[in-house]
Amino acid sequence: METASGFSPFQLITVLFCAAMILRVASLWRRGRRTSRELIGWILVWGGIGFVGAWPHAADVVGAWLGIKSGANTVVFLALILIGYVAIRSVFLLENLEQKLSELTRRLALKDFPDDERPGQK
Amino acid sequence: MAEVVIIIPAFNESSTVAEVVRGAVAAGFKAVVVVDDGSTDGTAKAARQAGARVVCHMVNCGAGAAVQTGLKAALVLGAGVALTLDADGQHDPSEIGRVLGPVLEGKADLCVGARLVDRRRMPAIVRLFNQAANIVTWALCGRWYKDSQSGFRAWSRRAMESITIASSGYEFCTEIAREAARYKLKVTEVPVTAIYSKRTAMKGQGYATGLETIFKLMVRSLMR
Repeated sequence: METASGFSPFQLITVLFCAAMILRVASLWRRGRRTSRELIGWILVWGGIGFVGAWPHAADVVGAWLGIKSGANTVVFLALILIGYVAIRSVFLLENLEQKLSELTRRLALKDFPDDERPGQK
Repeated sequence: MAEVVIIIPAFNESSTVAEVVRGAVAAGFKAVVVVDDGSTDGTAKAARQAGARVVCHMVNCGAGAAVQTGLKAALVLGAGVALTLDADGQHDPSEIGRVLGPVLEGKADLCVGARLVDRRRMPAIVRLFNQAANIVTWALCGRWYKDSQSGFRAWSRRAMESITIASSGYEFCTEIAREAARYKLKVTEVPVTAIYSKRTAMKGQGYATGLETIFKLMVRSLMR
């Protein structure tokens, strides 16, 4: 089944979803919540997914360039790399959060030290 | 002589912490700070009754975070030298002087009490994990420690002010070694006895903990 644009519904949804994600990142960048580097990175990621979604044979070209036989395998390979990156980034964020929590706890614990060694138990 | 502050990080150690505090006081050290790392078993009360000053973490942050809090508390108290020892009773307080010696004499900024006296009494699994940790520590900081994971350490004021422990978990021991190398601190090790009970032998050990520690060290290396 094809839509008026010549895309299948699946392709259309993929392209629209990627466009929405790019607009979201652009909006965050405009408000200063993403750096220019992050903006470019995410445009490349979502743009790439949208491009392959719209023209699946593009994956074959990329696959041939990377030395992977089929386009489907190329997509799976790149998706795994992306998931790995997101997982490592999540670990970094959690570690950062853990550090901040420890620092906050420390400051509270030492707030009145040594006058009051029991914060919150006056 | 520089003011010495004894730091005892503790998490749910109500059955042993009082004895450790009393041991440190009996060894002649009046300034004892117990960092209660969010315990739920009355560790803080037991430590306070034994004569220690207590700093309480509202939530459990991990051994590394507790040691860092203890070092900050020691600096607040104006310590010239600090000494950390475990709350589970695995270190003999009568050996505090031996570990403090090189730092008090100005020969070292950091002195590690290496659990080498009668090493055969150390459970095989602990020896294995310690050796693995020593290799990782050597790989990351370029210095070979006989016991990189010992919690029995003396710190000069310079070491206290330079080293920042960002790790919360067991990887903090390796982080201390790395920070010491980074700031070119003088480090030495002296042999100490380790007193093992069933409980202390398995603390922090395990295949999963070991892997997690190595993974966290790698992440921290990438975050630097």
